[in-house]
Amino acid sequence: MTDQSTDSPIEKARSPFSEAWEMFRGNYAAMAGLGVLILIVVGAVFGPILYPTDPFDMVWAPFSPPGQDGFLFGTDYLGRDLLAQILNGGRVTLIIGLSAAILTIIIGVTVGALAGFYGGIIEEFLMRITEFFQVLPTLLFSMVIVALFGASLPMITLAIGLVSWTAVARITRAEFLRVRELEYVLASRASGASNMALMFGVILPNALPPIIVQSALMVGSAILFEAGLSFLGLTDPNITSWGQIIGSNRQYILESSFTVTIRGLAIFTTVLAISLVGDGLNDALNPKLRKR
Amino acid sequence: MKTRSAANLQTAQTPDSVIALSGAVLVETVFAWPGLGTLAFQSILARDTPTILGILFFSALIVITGNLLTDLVLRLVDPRMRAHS
Repeated sequence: MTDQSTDSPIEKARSPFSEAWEMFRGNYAAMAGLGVLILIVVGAVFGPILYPTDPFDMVWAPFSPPGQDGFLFGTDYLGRDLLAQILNGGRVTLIIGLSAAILTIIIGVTVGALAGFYGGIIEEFLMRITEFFQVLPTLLFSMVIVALFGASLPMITLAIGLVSWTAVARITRAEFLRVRELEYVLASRASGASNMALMFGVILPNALPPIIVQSALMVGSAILFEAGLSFLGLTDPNITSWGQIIGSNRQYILESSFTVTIRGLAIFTTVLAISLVGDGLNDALNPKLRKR
Repeated sequence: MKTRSAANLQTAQTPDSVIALSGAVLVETVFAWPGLGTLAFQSILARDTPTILGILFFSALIVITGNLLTDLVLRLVDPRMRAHS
């Protein structure tokens, strides 16, 4: 269905979206990542409905190996079904990853846009704040936030978002510095656009591609971050997530490694898939790479 | 566009020293090494605020030193950086 140029003599201008999709589709690694990602998301969304075992229920003897006694992934040190845990934990992990990435974008784009657009003293001030957040060890800082304000789901999300927005802010600022000097921005300013309209209506849409790529990668790093936090026990004890399962089964890794490895592989696969998709997006949205 | 300092040439990513320090917390907790990471973890759980602040300050100093070294090495190996001053 891609032969729109053959039936009409005039080649229709294609939307940037379809062009990017064409480029993305040609990238096998990115398509494989997208496929795996869709599989994981479907599993996390519909898994707990199709497999309604309570992840906190003691269903069998502890340390039952995978595949035996009717438990696909076996049971953990309290005899809880690990398949139910991984399906329910995937939900939490993906929600945290996604909402932390959204929070990161909101903070980062706002700071970067203000700094890049206004320049001068506002830029200096905002970029010094960004650098302040950049020199703090991220995991340590978020551990402090979670430990001080309680380990609830919103607080973990806030902690992850608060320590990882600096990269988005710097990229947004760099793009704004580049785009604000272009002619069409001058043209809209001449036709009376306000600063706000210029910032978010004219410059931001044109600065978006690198921000989209960065935020796709942000979801992956947020998932890793959440895994690290909950591995250390800084998580809501009433919610199961992948890192938490690994952390609570950590003492038994030598006797029954399957309690830890399958979860670790799940995190690894998810983050790898997200990274591949982000890489593919980078290739697809970067016009310099397109006509090769 | 103005070029101000070598800091602009650094990528937007978080510095590797930050990632290394965050990893130290995990590794030291897992293997029970009596390092800065273990101390940080224990003092966070014990709500020992002065120690936490001290560790945050100290590790920020480490990162800043790392960034400074990066800038200096960058100046040494990249002739374009020397041309500006």
